[in-house]
Amino acid sequence: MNTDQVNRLITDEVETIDDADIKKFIKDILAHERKNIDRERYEYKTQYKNLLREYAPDSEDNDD
Amino acid sequence: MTEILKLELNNYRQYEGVTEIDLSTDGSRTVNIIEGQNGAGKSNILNALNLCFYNQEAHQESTGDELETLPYVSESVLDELDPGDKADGYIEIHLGDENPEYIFRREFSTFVTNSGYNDQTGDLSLQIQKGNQWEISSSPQTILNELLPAQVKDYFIFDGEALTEFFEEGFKERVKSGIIDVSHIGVLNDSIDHVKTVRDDIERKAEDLQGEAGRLKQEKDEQKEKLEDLREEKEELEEQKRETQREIDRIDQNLRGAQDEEVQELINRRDDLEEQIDDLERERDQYRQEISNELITAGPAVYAADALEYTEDQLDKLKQKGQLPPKIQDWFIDDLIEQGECLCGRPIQSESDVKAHLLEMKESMADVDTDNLEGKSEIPRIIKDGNDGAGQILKRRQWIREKQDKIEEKDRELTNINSRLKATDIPDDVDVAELAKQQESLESQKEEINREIGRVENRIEKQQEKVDSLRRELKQELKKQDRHQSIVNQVEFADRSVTEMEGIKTKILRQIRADTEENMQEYFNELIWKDDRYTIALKDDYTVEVNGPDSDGNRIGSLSAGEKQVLALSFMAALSDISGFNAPVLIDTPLGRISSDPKEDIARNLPDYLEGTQMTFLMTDEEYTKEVQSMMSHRIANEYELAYADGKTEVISQ
Repeated sequence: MNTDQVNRLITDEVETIDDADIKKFIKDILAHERKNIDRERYEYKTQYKNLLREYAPDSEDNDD
Repeated sequence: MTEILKLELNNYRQYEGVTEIDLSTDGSRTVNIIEGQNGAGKSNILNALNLCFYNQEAHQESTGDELETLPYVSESVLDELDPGDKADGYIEIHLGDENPEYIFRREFSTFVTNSGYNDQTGDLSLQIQKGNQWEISSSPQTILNELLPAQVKDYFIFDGEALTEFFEEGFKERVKSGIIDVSHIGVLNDSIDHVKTVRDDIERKAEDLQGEAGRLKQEKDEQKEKLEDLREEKEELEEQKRETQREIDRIDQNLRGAQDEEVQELINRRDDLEEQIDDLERERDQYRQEISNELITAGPAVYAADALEYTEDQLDKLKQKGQLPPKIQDWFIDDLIEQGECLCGRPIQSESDVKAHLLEMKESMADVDTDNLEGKSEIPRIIKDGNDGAGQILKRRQWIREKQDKIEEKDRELTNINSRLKATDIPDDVDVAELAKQQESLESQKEEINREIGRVENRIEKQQEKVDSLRRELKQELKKQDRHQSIVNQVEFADRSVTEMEGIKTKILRQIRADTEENMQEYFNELIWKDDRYTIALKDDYTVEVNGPDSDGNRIGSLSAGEKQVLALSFMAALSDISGFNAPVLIDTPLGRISSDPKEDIARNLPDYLEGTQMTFLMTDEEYTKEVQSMMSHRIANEYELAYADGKTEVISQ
């Protein structure tokens, strides 16, 4: 799933973000949320923590 | 263009056996018409789409005096069965762009019991075209979600008659929901909330904090708990407010049941006054906002007016004394010396006093800062802007006073009407006096709840500031401890991401409202049967205003049913434009509430509604008159008639 299905107004603004890591992080978050748009409950915490570990500078494991 | 190429029904309600309806378009012929009398099965076409895609039906058929839910499987099939038996059916939708790419299917069963019927539906299944083969998809819901999520389907597949009520009371919430749904602001909101939740989880992972960091963390957690309690309190108050409003509405309905004409007039007049007061309050608040904006731009100049005027005065005096000459360019003096003649006509000879004076002037020019001179010339402009701004502010304050006077005048009339209603005693009629008293009491309660919500919101804002401040302090404290650096980095990264997303949200909401307003106005003026042009405004609070050429003020409350339907159609078109979804549109009874002459005018323009989109209209024979047919014929791809007899509907191609 990519962000193609997110309203273009949002994705165009995301493209203007200067920080490349924050841009990539937000794109991944939006793609995940868009995929689950019609669901009331869905898992996101593990994925988002992994994304933070991947993109935030000098990060270590943040799991329990 | 993604379109519905074919709809296939098997034993679905009055469609006994297999019924195939070809809806594929052809070039500029993008409109399908399915005509049928009331009860022939038009709305069940709408229901079939919703049931197949979303496992729900939007429209209940009415049979006789009450709404009744008919079983999914055709009754003519069920009549042959005994209790304990079941019958099956399915709905299939073929989607694609010219050629089929997706086949969505949902099966259903109806069980016959001693007391009636029980329905069951199966899961949505999907076949996808891959080359020459059809493959079964393991995630039909995901694919459907990409094509047309449930969240936005109501702006593509809907009941036209229900639109007449779209702009009735409570429309602001519906407008807001529509805009948020199609713009994916909800996706942004969830992203922001979820990143904050994960950020908080990570912060909590900072363990064994000693000293100041430990104290800050504990205090932050305590304050956060208080913040959650306040939010819960607000939610409870909101629910109380909704409940009170429901009670007010219920009493209002009862009051409208009064037979007495005078009571009816009073109630109608009260409705008008409430609407007028709402409009006036909105205009008044708009002026207040404009004053705030003006203060930001012109305020500094206004406050510094005395100092600016003094500065200008001093600069003028310096200029008169020759201590602040006008800016003369160096080259001008050089030219004069070269020409050998001054402006006044005196010869400039080498080694003369004149030449020496000019050279001295040129030297002193170099000491005059260009910026200062240019700044001097700006001061009068700044003073003027400040004066203009002050003028605007004063004007608006006057307007606010005028609006407030009108509000108070109408409030007095409203109070008078309520008093008369409370004093009304009509035997053998609704107990108007008692209902009016109850309503007044509930309105007071609602106002008090509103004030309490305001107080709690204020406390939430302050509490949030407290929590944010503690978070910042804790972050600073954690930075001092190396072992928590990773946590600090991730938390900061999350915070920055949230800030970016919140900025995006504010910006695009503004853009989307502007785009929706522009598109609504365009569609409304295209569809409406009047020659004059209307202006439509979509305010920040999602109020929609319709201003006509012949009247002042917002006309939305006085639009006819047909005009409201056109307005709602315009809104739907505007939303589908900005949604970014290229989905077919299906409207049940698009012209239902519109009388004959306007109907033809709209019919002429309706095919151009959402140009480039497949449109299927389910129309009654009263809507699809010969005149309407002739208006649309050049755009029609398929035309069907629903022939209903003995509980069964046959779809006949015209």
